[in-house]
Amino acid sequence: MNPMLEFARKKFSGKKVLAVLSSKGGVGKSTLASLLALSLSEMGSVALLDLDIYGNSVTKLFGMQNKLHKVSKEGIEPFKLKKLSIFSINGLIGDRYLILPGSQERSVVESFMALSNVEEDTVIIDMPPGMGEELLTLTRIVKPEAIVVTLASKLSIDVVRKMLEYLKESSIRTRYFIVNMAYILSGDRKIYPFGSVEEAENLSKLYNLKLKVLPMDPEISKFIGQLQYYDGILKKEIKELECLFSDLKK
Amino acid sequence: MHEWAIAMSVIQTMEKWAKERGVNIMKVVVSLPSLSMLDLDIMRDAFKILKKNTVLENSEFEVRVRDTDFDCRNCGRRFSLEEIKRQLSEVFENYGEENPLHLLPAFVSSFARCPFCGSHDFTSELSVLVDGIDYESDA
Repeated sequence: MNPMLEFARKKFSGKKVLAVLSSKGGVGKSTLASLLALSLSEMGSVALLDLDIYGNSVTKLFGMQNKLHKVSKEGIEPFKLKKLSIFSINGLIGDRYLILPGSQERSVVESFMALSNVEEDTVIIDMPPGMGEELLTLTRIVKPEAIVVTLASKLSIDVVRKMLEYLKESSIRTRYFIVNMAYILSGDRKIYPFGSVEEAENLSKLYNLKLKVLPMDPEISKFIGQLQYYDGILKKEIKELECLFSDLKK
Repeated sequence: MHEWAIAMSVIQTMEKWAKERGVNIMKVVVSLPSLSMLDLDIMRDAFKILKKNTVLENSEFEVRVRDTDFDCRNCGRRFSLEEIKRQLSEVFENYGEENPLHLLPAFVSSFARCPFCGSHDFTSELSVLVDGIDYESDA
């Protein structure tokens, strides 16, 4: 019997939970999860949960890394940006390192999800890279829809292929496969720094996923710490993830 | 403050447990790790109020604190909370009442080291536990 697990399950049941995943690190999960959450919050209330407990980046992206969450009777209260509610472990411990044995990792993720006062029906989750305790704990609590992110590089595709296999086998619904930072625009020309996206296309066909190829936007580095004001090409491209948005309208 | 949320988690868990088994719960014994320093009076009040209008309306809730011992995975020694208290006092001073250990005691290995070998690699049972349930069949 585990009261925190039961509490977390009840809290997230009936919510639409989108988890931004990749078995590879450094592919831009936090940035994409944050931009997606920002875009969706223009239509309705959205919660963004940062479960990348060792590499918390969400609060840094919004310039909130030194803020601490308030705690009320209902639990951990979010940082608010208009209709976006942000929850992060970073907001509990501040800007310092975290090191946890596996068993405590489970407890931290479970309690964090259970005690966060998530009132919104739509929840975006920024996951850590790889497949481990955080992914198991998340799926023990709620069945998310996965959005899988990769780079076009052969190395990244190869690691992500295994994650897609696991997700399929575990019946975790996955609709979007995103190739992030795939090209840089130089005038009318597209330069592909990680090579062609052909392998990603093949993988998306194999797993019946919608493929989205995103550009690299050098401008975005100016918005780290104030992502809420970014209105560049990535934001526009993310709004084209139609399915996710039309679901929310229903 | 989150004592209320914890009490709610126990109530919901026990409600589900009782319904699944078709039993009537007379008493629940809950234990909390001493490290989390939860306020027992608030917990007791929360149970009293939250159980109203649930199947647990007449159930008694006993809340107790259990000592926290730690096992170091690096050197294999066991130590008590008392032995790392001095290391943790900084956390209580820096973060105030709603400190990270009060909220999520499982953070402890990030804020302290094994008093014998200095490692952060130690574990403990730090969950809210249901230690006992007295119940009778509904029929």
